[in-house]
Amino acid sequence: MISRELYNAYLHKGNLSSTFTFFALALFCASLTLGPNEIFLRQSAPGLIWILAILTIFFSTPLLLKREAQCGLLDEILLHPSLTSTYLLSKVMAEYLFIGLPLAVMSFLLSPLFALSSGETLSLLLTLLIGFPALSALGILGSLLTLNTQGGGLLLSLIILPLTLPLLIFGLSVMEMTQLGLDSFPSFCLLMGSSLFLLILSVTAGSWALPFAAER
Amino acid sequence: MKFTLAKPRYFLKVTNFLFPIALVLGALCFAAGLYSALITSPPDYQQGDAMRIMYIHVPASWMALFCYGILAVFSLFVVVWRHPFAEILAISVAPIGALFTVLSLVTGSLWGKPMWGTYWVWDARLTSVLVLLFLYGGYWALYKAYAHSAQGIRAASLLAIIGVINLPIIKGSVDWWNTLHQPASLTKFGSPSIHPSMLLPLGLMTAAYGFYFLVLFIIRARTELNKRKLLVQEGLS
Amino acid sequence: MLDVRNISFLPLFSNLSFSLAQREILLIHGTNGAGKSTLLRMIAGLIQPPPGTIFWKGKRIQLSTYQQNLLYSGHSLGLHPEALLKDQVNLWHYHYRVEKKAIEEALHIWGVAPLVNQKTQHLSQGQQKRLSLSRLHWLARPLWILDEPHTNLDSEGRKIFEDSLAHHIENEGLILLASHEKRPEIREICL
Repeated sequence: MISRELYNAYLHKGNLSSTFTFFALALFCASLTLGPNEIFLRQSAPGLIWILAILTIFFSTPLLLKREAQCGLLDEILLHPSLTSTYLLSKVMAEYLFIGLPLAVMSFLLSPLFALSSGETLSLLLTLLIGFPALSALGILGSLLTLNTQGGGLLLSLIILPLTLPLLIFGLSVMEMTQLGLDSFPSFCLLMGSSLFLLILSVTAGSWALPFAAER
Repeated sequence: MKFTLAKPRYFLKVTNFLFPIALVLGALCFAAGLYSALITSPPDYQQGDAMRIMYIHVPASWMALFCYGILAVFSLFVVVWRHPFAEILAISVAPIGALFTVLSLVTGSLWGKPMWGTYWVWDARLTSVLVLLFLYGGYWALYKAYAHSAQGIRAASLLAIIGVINLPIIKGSVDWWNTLHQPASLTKFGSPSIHPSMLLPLGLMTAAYGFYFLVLFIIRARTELNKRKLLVQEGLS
Repeated sequence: MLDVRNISFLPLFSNLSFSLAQREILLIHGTNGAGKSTLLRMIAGLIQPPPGTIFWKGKRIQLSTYQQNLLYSGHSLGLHPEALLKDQVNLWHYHYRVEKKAIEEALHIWGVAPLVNQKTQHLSQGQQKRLSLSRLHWLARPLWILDEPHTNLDSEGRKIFEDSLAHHIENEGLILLASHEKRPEIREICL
């Protein structure tokens, strides 16, 4: 199942370029509107990058999943003997490799735009890498719930964004600790804990939502 | 036969009996509560007359949480047992809960202006109530986004259940977060006991809100029930 | 082998019962919107069937084990939106654990093997249908559930399809077919 999902995600590679371009362009515009004040840029960078990463994931996931569902691929998944949660976890993994990692690398490369120091960039990268599995899982859950509607990414963000708050809060508190030069380890642990919890929660809910989404 | 009590027929019977009682008692409690809250109860020694808004604000917050609680219970029935009557009840309760949440937020910020000098503070309690409002909004948006309400209610119910698990985390995380910004957030009752002269109007107002909720809930559930009956009849003819 | 007892999906059909033995074809016949697809999706378990309505080999089905006996081909063809034809073969290989060799042979039979470097979405409707139906040859399952399999097939495609039906029947298979066309030689139930 894992190899199937990895291959499935690999086939979507053509669609992903617009996802990454969107992320880069949005970051660029955001840094431009904030002006050249370095202190201000540094303070607002983590929040902006996090929000834009979340939105990028939440807007691209439903598009991919919707196309797969329209082609009848979800039916095949349901007829497959492995558990739906196995499928969802493989999908999270595939999305992590094909969307999450590139996004993290891109925010790493674009961090000079926000005048971040190397230490700050590193902890930003770490928080993103820890948060992405939960974000992907939430995105998949939301896509399944909104699959048979016309809402798309907008509706998904509307219903799922409140659930991402723990990640945002702990991720940003890590960044704040780093910028203040304090010990950020406790916040890291909390971030990991909430990421794991949200991952489990959304996979559990998703394995209920998958047959529901296929019912049309 | 597990759910005999939850059949529409029994619901109509019980509510036929309950509705006028709730209406009258609600009106009485409201009048008495307002009278004692605004006129007979003493002003707070620190906050003065401004604290009288508490009698509107606190019951609203309680009701907002209470509504979400029963919404989650009904949602559980929808998701696990696919009970059709639970759908009707869940749909009926959600907008009322949202109404109480809005009321709580508005009165809260009006109270905040004279007390804290600002309408909004990023305090743990405020933020989690705001998130509660977003959850209600998401629930309703998802329900409405489906062309078939039978599908919409199932998707939305799952969301409501996840929300109830997530709510304590959000509250907890905001608490953690805020230890950085505001070491001491404002607590509404500094001392553990309130004077009985304040407890009486608060209790009366809470009862009034409860009865008001019951009245609205019964009206909405009956409307929804009739709507469905109409749909079925149209389908048959 | 397959028994369906008192299955209902309001308002489309109610208390429908039939059974299907080995070497048998059953045609589900009905006008558009009569509920043929819904019935087939229910029998395939893609819509949760009411408990105790479907029996396989005389026993109440346990969904995921029962589903290993069936081949379902629905309206959506199950072709990946971005794949080349050879990518699709790889995807099937990963998904069903079938030898690529077997799939490629089936593609030859269905006459789509020369198109391996084309995007599946750029093929004509009939070619896509042929590609999707090639699973009749490489996926060995006793119960076939086919929803409107004739659509978009030309006479040659139909010939290949009919041959595979006959072959499957000879090999003790069961076939459940939905169509709005009448086929006098096949036992049918009307929705």
